[in-house]
Amino acid sequence: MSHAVPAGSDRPGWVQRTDRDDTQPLLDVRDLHVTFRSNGRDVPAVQGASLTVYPGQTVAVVGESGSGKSTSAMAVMGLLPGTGRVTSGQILFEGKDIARAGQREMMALRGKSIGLVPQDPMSNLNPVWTIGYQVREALIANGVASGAAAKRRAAELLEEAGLADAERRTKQYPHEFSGGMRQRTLIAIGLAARPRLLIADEPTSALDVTVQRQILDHLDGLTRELGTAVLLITHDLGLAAERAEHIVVMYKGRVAESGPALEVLQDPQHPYTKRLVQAAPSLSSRRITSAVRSEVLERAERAAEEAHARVEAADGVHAPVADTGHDVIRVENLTKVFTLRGSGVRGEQLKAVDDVSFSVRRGTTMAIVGESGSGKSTVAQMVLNLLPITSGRVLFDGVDLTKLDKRQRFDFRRRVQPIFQNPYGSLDPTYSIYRSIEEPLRVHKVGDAKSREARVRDLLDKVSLPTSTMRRFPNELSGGQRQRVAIARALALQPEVLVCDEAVSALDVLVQAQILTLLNDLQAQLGLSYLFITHDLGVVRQIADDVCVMQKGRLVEAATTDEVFANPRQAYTRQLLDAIPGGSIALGA
Amino acid sequence: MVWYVGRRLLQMVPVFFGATLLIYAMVFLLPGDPIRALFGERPPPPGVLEQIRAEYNLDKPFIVQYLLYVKGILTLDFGTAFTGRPVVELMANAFPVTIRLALIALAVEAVFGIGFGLIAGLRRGGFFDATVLIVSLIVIAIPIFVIGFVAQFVIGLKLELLPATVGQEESWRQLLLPGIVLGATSFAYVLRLTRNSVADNLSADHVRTATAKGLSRPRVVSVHVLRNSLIPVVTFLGTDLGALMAGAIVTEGIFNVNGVGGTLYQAVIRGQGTTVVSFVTVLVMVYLLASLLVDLLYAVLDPRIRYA
Repeated sequence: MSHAVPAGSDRPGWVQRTDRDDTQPLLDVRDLHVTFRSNGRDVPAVQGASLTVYPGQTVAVVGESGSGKSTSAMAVMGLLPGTGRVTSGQILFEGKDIARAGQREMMALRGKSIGLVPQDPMSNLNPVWTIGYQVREALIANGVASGAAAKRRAAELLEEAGLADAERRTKQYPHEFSGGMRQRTLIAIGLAARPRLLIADEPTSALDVTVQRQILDHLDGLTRELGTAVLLITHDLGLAAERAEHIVVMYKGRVAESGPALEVLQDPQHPYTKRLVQAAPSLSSRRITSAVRSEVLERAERAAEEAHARVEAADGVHAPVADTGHDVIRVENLTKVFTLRGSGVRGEQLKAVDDVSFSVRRGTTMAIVGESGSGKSTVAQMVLNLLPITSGRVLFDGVDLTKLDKRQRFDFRRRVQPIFQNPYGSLDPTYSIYRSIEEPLRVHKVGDAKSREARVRDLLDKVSLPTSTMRRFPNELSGGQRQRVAIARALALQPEVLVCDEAVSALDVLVQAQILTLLNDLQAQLGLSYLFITHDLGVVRQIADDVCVMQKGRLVEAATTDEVFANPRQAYTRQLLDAIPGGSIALGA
Repeated sequence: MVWYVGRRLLQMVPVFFGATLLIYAMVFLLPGDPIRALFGERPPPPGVLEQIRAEYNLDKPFIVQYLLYVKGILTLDFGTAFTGRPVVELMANAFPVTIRLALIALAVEAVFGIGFGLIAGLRRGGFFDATVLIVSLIVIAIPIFVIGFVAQFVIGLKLELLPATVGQEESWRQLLLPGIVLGATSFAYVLRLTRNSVADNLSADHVRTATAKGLSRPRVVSVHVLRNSLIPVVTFLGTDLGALMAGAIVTEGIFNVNGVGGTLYQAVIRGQGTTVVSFVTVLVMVYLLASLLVDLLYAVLDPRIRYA
């Protein structure tokens, strides 16, 4: 990769410290066990975790959801949710065991000695109090300042956390802030009383990559300046390797591996870590391939012909076809203007998508990348014919979508299917998996009950789910399994195009890698074309043939994936690439 | 903000005309002849019937009657009841006592409902929570006249803690028991609403963050849980004020209170159109004002809500 720089060179003061036996650890967690009580049974969440943080050191705890990484961190603060409790083990903070400390003792430590930067900036500030009030509160509670001094100090802290015009901003409410600004506020609160240890629980996972980078850089600088030790909880191995000196990999409540960051990354010992390193999208540099591309393309052409034959057999007429060659979808000068409600009689106009043109070649994957608000999802909705187009046009197989009559639109739905981001939300919780997958078949009156059941079995097989899944309900499945069901449902009608809107963003890295491989295999088998909407360039690298980069509604760069990664022409694209966490770290293997 | 309040007040104008017209029409369509009923069994002397009809404009077509009535209201003349007393006088008698009764009920709901609800929410799943939930369920399930009579008998007559009925002087002390009875059902609702709201807010991310700042538990609860939890409760209390004013008929009957409910009930029975329409119109207005107040209070509690 052209943007790669020697490992660690962008971090001044990077010292690899492996042997710190000479100093007393700030935090020493020994053989920690945490259980939750559920339905009268004890369910273990952490089973013997140990980790050590030295003063001023940054230690990252990496793992997927459910690995116990957040639970361990919350146990350190005495903030286990619900029925959670520490059953055995020690949490030594400055040599003193606080695993079973009382509320009063913990209250004295919280804020003053151990600060917290929580995960989701949207839900972690109280919506009914001003920003200034919430920062001030931390100062007053820990006896740092009070009265007018606290007011002044709050503004200083916000300024220090990188919030411009802080004094005026203290009078604003959280809903008037963007996600990045809120996270800066939370950092200011976490560091308000100058704690010796800062627990940062996925501090940036809810933010756009470029914002993420700014915030992490800032946090890095601040904690180094103040000499604060950081316990960084993250699911992103690349991010951990880039930010921490020491990495602890957790898996199913246990520590799978721990050691100096680069060592863990470049020479992983535990099989789980190995898989994690392989799957990390931010680190991988290659498109997943499972078949010869030309064969895939050929298969796609054949699938298209079959579809045509089917339509003609059904309609008896040939739809007017503009010659679009190998392009299954062609988008021309697409524009979408939303009229915002509120001030003024006519309302404000928002150009969400501004003159966007691209095309998707049959049998290939086109990715649209951009940050939130870039208009990429709006494009997807217009391609899916779910949102009226303001101007421009979308051609599917040479036919203008706006010119479709009711019958043709029904047919279009059959040939282009969506997969959405949230597998928790896109499946009806009251439908069995069988019913969810069968529904599109029933709606389109495909086959009889018996042949439909056979088809559902076949589809489940295609997405590598056991047939027994049919009788189950969405709440009984994991996120990855649900997304497989969503894919099976999308494939039910043998579509030619799948529009995946952030289809893997809500999944853990390993599951994400599995789903991407599955999508890739299906593309090869069935000759599918994908329009892939994502904010994650790592994912793009793994699945896409072509990339469109969108920024504020405009298409800023479009090229093949290799070109974009090797030779980004726009400053914005380069910024996005640089923001991939761990992108600069060379892998040993 | 001013523009918003102005617009809301302006919206009341069509509601006022719609409500009065509707109520007027309904009273007009009631079966029976109220004038003839005034004379009981004996037939009225000839000519008298017509004379009374003309006096009360009952001989004119419906829409003319209505317009004459509205004209009267706009000059603050609510007309005269069949008893010869002006309707305004009836209102002046009935409303103050009912307003006092409603305020007592509202205070009971707010203080005890929110108080118990908060404790139950903080100790969800505990003994207090379970007890309070069962008691509130029982209160909701029992009809108000049962609660009323039982309270009157036990507290008023047997234990003699409070006056069992309301006399001529209508003192606050006399109104206390009926006020509590009137507020009982809503108290149970407020309690449950507060309890659930507190329990939900307690597990909110921002509450955990507040604890992580090093705040004490009482501070976390009062500053970060209670205010957020009160938003839905205030909405309920505000709309309930209107219901308390109009819905006190049963309670007023049991405790012999000459309030809005009793007067309205009598007027409906006797077919006294002007009285019914006047009282209901005022109640509709009270309801609208109460809901406006709630919306304004809502914006105070929740800064995300801004009216423009």
